[in-house]
Amino acid sequence: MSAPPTETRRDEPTSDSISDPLALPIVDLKSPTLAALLAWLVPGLGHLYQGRYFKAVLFAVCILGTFLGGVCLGGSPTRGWGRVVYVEAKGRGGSLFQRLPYACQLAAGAVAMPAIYQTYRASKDSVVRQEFMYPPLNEDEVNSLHLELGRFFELGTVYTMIAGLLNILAIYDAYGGPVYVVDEEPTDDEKRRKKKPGSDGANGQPEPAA
Amino acid sequence: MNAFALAFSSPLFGQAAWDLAYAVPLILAIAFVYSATRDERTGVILHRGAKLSMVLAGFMILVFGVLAALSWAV
Repeated sequence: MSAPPTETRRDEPTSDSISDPLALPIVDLKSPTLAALLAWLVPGLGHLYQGRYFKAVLFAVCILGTFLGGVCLGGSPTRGWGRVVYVEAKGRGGSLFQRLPYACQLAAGAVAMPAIYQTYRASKDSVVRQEFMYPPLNEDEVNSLHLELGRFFELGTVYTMIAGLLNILAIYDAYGGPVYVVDEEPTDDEKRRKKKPGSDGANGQPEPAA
Repeated sequence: MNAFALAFSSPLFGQAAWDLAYAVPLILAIAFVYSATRDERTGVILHRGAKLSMVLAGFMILVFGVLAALSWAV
């Protein structure tokens, strides 16, 4: 993969349509790789490092807020918070990749990492604990979590997964800058050429140089 | 009362409609994060984010209405 340009465009137009792609704000991406790594670890941190403060706050609030909302929905004071974020359920013949939602949740960065430590603890002593991001040890515990939390178990899973998936967009933005949506509208120059096909030669084609 | 009217006057419909409130934070987060990755200008991000969240919410309400009607009518 080639390194992205460290700068994009200049000047700040007022409308949200982009008729001139060259008239766009400058973005100093600094070190894109470091920014992407920081953006993965803590949503918004990569943008903060790049000095893109508005986006840093927006990503932190939206992504961390969604993830923490999911942690609260997918848990309870008695069963522990964040029970929807776990790497694998022991005894289900599971491996890391059998808990696919965790792959999405891990994209949210450091906030999902306590689940790895908790899974390591669970693999050591196999003690049932009602703790933060502690994995269910068997099928019965998974069922009891579903029974107690009801639809909030699924809601919590969806919230935390979407937070991780949104952070992938934020990571790419920190690495490569914004993906501007350029209008498909023809420019004034192109419109003029279409109106007067004879002026540029036959069938609107430019005349060959003499 | 026909099946369509029954669908929308049921207490279960009220509960399901209230559950849609859980989609609101998700819609806002998705709309604003997506818009933020498409531009760098604050005003444009907020404007497009608000517009996209309306579109997403409208689409979800439409699909919800159709599914609620179908689930009771069939």
